[in-house]
Amino acid sequence: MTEVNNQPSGDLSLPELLASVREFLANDVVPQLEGRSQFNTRVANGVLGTVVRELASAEAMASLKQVARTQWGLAQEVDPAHALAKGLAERSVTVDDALLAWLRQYQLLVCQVNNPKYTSLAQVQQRWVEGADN
Amino acid sequence: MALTTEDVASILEAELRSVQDSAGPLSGLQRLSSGANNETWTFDWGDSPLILRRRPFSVEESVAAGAIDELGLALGVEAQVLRLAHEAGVQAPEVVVGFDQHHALGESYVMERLPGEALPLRWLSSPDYAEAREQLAYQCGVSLARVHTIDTARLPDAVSRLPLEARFAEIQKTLTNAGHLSPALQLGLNWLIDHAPDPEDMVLLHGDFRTGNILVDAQGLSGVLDWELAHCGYVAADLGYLCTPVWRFGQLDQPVGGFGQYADLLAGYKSVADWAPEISAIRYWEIFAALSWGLVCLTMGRLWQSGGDRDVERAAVARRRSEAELDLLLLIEAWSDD
Repeated sequence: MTEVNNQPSGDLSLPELLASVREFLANDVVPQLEGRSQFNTRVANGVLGTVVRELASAEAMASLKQVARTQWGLAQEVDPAHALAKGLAERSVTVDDALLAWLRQYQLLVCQVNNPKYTSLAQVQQRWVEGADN
Repeated sequence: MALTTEDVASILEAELRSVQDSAGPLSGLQRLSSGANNETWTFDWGDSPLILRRRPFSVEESVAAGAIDELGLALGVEAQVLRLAHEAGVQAPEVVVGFDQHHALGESYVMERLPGEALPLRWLSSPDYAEAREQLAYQCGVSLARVHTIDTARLPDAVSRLPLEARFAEIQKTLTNAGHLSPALQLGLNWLIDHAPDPEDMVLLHGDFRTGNILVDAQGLSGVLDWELAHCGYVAADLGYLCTPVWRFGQLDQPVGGFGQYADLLAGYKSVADWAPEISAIRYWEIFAALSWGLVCLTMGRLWQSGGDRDVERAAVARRRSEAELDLLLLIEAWSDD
């Protein structure tokens, strides 16, 4: 069995580069600012956090979208979220269990990326994830 | 138009000298971090604590450029509504002076700065505000009922009186113009259309009455702010808006704004109006308010993309659309469970 090498490789990934910027903003920049500039810098740091999470969830999102393309017979280049929204607007897509189940998974993932601290997420976790496991 | 703090100070100083009895001076001018549509500045004029509200870009230009469908009331109209609310006994700030879009400050007005804490994180769970929170749901009911007593015939013409069906059509237009990007928002709109209440008399609604837009002191409600979304509609809309999950700031077990219970809100409302809406009506409007939050986020994103306002806060708020999308699915599911 090959021994796992835990030594740093020195080859920084995109999330690691982003982490370095986030640490710089939080530790070096924010304490030196005040008022609106300090607030906006905190907001900017939060936005970078969203970028990090979106990068980490890209694979899960791609496979979720693929599930929808298969389920609703959509072409590869079509974004299923847009297609379903349009279909709902035209009332040509049926609101059934399959649609709601996919939409719940999709919005759960999107909210985890955009605002993982949002309180409703805990409720969703209980209702849609743990509930589904039982 | 981008103005520096020094620019704003010098223009304000000159204007206030012409309308105020006291001679100032102006001090402590600072832009507050809150506010997605308008800038809010705090300052003192002599001993008087005041607030400046200004729109940092031309509404007409942004609408004409197709960046946004609407951004709430023009600040001049908002000031007129504030005056009516103040007269009706609502804890709305008194307006000192207003300026139109051709003024050096842009469309703006100056009002008194009421005492109290606005930031929810400071008062929503602090023991210092425990007594205030006990009164607050009732007081909000009283305040909203007073807003709803304002004679709609006295409102400026620019205050929207759109029937619900027309509002649905406007929302659909917004979703369509945005490129049908959210199935959850569309599902929410479809549900609201399918479950719409029967037509009823329309009253003036504050339109954005929620935790974060009210001031709280040791006695409870001390101010009602942010009137830019005032419009005419059904009574329960304002109550449902206050109760929608995103404005509970994490305290989901306290349905009224994260601090109170429905019964207290309704009791306060009834003490002024002699009646109060059913909880089921409030819950319908909680769903409507969730959709509204999603639309605000969408508008912030479109505004940033159009170049109308490149503030990083707008970009961040645009991504908060997912809160509304999640809440819409949850609230509709809970409605179906009952």
